[in-house]
Amino acid sequence: MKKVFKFIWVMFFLTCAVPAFAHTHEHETQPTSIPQSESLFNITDTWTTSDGKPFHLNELSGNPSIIAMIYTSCKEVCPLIVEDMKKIVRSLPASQVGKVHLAAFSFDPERDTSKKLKEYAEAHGIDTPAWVIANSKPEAVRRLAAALGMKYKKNKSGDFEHSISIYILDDAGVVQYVQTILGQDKEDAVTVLKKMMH
Amino acid sequence: MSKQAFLLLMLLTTISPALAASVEGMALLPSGVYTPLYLEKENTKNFERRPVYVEAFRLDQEPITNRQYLDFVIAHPEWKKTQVKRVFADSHYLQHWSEDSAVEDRNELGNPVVNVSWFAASAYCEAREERLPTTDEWEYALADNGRDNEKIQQQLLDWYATPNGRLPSVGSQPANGFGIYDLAGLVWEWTSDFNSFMVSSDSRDSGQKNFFCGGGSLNASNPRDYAAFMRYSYRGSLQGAFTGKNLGFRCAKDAK
Repeated sequence: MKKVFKFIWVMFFLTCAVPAFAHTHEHETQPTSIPQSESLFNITDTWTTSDGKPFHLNELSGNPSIIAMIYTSCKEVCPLIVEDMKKIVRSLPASQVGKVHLAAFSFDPERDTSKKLKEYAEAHGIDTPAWVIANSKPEAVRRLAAALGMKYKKNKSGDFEHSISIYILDDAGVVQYVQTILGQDKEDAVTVLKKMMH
Repeated sequence: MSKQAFLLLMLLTTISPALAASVEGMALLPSGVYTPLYLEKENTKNFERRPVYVEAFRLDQEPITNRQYLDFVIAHPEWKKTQVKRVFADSHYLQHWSEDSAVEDRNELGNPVVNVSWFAASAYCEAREERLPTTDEWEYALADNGRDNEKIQQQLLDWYATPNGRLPSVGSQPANGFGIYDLAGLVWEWTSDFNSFMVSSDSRDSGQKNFFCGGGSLNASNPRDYAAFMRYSYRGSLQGAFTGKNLGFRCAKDAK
């Protein structure tokens, strides 16, 4: 009977406890503590930046962020999204400009390699430390899009139909404002950001 | 044997077979084509009725039950209703369960699990090394190569017209030609790409906003398939963290 008992405990340990430890460890390797419940930082997928470095959403913590999802082969709308993000930053007081993260996530894992993202960043003048431009696997793209409420679909030509949105996150990774119409007055996004930095 | 040891044994015997047996409950659907409700945009003006090719894939024969989801939650406590993150599931997540790992009524164990978000459903399938079906795969399974097309449409409409009642157990209706149960008449089901850009519930978005209104429906491949309009519209209105008391899921897998 004692043996049976021992066996059960060992089995329990192998099936339940060990994976649990592994899980905890995985979280410890990431920079911040447990994110709040509504935070996008609960998404733990690994992204890859245009410099080929791994990137996790919780690296956006500490400062507010302006983020969007784009793809680099997009010739019409996406460059405007990036321009709008830049405009929001330009509307901030000089003292606050350096305190905002900017991130563009690609939903085109097939074509948007790190190299392609790097070229895009250079061409659009966003190859700076304030910006992150990153790709990931399709599941991670779908997960981030779902969390943001972003819709997209690849059409036959390989291009995407997608919603056009810019998201303002607070320093804890919670979406505080969504700008959905291009070219509208930037006042709202800017006001939200200014408030966060007070 | 002490009660504790007995419970542990129960845990071990209930978790492992449920996870291992996943492929057994799946049907292999051969590759094929179906014509979706939405039309492909040919250029800025013209839409084309174009069949979509679907690769062979495996699909759960039945929707995931409370019993199966219970096993998942025990193995992955971050999906317990008291533990789940709000970014992944709204406050109605698993609201029909009385506790973190108990349903209100034992008889409900064989019923399809509902009140689960897209994130939760995806996590369940990923834990089985599977995935949610795409919308095309799900619709292809329902289309069933055109078998009993009219009958299914009528069955769907009758179901949509019935007020929400008690959910029956999975697998209580006959299977379709692919050997799949309960695609119509039990619960709505999550698809991996529910957030595909084809329909916007918000007409201020620049999506195919004329899809549902008036003459816009002429842009659909079969304007008579009212049930399909409802499905596409419903999916278009969802967000990843939403849950619903008639919204469940089943998993899929590549055939390879």
